[in-house]
Amino acid sequence: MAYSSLIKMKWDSRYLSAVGNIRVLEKRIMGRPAMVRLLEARSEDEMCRVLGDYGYGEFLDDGSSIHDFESILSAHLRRSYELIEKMSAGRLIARISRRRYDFHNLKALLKADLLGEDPEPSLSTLGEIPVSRMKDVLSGKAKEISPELDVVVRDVKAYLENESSPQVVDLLVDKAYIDYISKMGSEIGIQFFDRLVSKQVDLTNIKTLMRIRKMESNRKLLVDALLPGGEIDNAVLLRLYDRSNEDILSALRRTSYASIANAGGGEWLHKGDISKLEHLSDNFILGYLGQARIVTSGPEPLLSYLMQKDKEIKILRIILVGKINSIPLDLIRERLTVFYG
Amino acid sequence: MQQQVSATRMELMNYKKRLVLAKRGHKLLKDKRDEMMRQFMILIQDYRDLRNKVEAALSGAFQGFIVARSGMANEFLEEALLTSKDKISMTVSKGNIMNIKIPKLSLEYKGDIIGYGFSETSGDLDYSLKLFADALPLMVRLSEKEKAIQLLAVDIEKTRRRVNALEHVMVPSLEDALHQIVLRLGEIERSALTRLMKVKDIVRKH
Repeated sequence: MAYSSLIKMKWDSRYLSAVGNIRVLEKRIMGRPAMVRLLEARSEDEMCRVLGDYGYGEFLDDGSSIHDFESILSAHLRRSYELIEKMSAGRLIARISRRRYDFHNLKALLKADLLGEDPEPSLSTLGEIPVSRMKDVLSGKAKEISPELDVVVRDVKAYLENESSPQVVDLLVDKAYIDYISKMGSEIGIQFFDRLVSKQVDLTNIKTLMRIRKMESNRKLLVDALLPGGEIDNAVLLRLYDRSNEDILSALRRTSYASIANAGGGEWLHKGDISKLEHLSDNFILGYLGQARIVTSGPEPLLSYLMQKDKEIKILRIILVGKINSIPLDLIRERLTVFYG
Repeated sequence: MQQQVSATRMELMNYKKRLVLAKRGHKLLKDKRDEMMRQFMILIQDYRDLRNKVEAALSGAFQGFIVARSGMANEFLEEALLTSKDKISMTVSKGNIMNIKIPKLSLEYKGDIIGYGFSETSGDLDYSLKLFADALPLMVRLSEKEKAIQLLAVDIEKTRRRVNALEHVMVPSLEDALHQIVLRLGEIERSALTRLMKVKDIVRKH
């Protein structure tokens, strides 16, 4: 990335020691060699040993099996959040990341409530707000969860009075989450974070456009699903909905996401496969976060570390699910190539 | 087994009629069984082809689902699949093969199979659900064929028993009875003739 394209990073002395710690922690993130070692492990014990070497050992006791990988990964991620919470001067960075799970839990509870289903399997333990408090608010026993979630509950309930499409619950909560992190970004006052959010919104919107076209769903769904706050205007994306796939790709090639369109557009165009584009989008965001490397004191490296951890967990899940379910190693390797090049 | 039959000309005629009827019934049932077998074999072939298609479709769908699962945390996947927007209704009507009532199933889709948001889900999940949705009509057709085969098999078995009963029990026993009547009538005729000759001889001597 050219230096001129880098954005201004603020110097914040409160993060001086945290950034030092993060630089050490970053060295322990599993890279390609570790992932390949895990991929080529011949037994469950060997897989556990590899995980143990990279900081997952404390969540693996004698009785635990690799089949419990979800709880191992979840516990490891929780520890990373707690670590960042402790290290960060304020708790805002960790809270922003964990709030994703609070919004997710609220979404699951609202949908389960609407359909009379059991929400338990859909609930995440990584959120910051206790699920019991959300349940109390939804059942009318309590009044408030948190200002940003209370607004969502009100909006969703108001919507459900007229219509009862559970998909809209997801769409409304997703939009509310983006609103929340955008506001938080303004509160923190870091341009780096603002741009990160708008890039994530853009990439989500582009993928949504492609997915909805592939499903041959109606335009209204796209209108409802597009998230606000991206660098690409939603009106442009709506116009592209009526154009051909080639037009969409050539329009993307004229944006800052040209590299994604060039590398993964072909698969989508010819096979209708969007997964490569999705992984390339993740890499794009991580590439953007790479700018945090030049920050010696500020919240950016902390945020970058958490996102790298997310990626690590994502790749571990791909390998573990694949190996447990006997997916051909070549197929898993192919997916890793997208992440590591 | 020897049957108790009364050896009269009337009975002979009755048995002859019954034998003709049994042989005709046997031929008809045998033809019915053969045609049912032919239909059965066609159904079996269709069923095999369809089963291969269903297995391939489901295996692709499950593999796609595992790939989708590997890209998402379990809770996120569970949440996404908590609901579906589409409504499927199935209507059952009756079809007919060789006078056997078989079920005809038809599916009707309304809405979209994707009932979740797009931010936390992946295109792989859309794809695997699409594969499952594509497999469903095949599975319904497979179950329709399977039921038809089951019903046809029961009827073939029933017809086969009837054919066997006619061929190995009814027709031989009727033939046997006829044979006995013919023998008995012949014996009666011979004894009457002997009696007549004896009477004639006595009359001549006097």
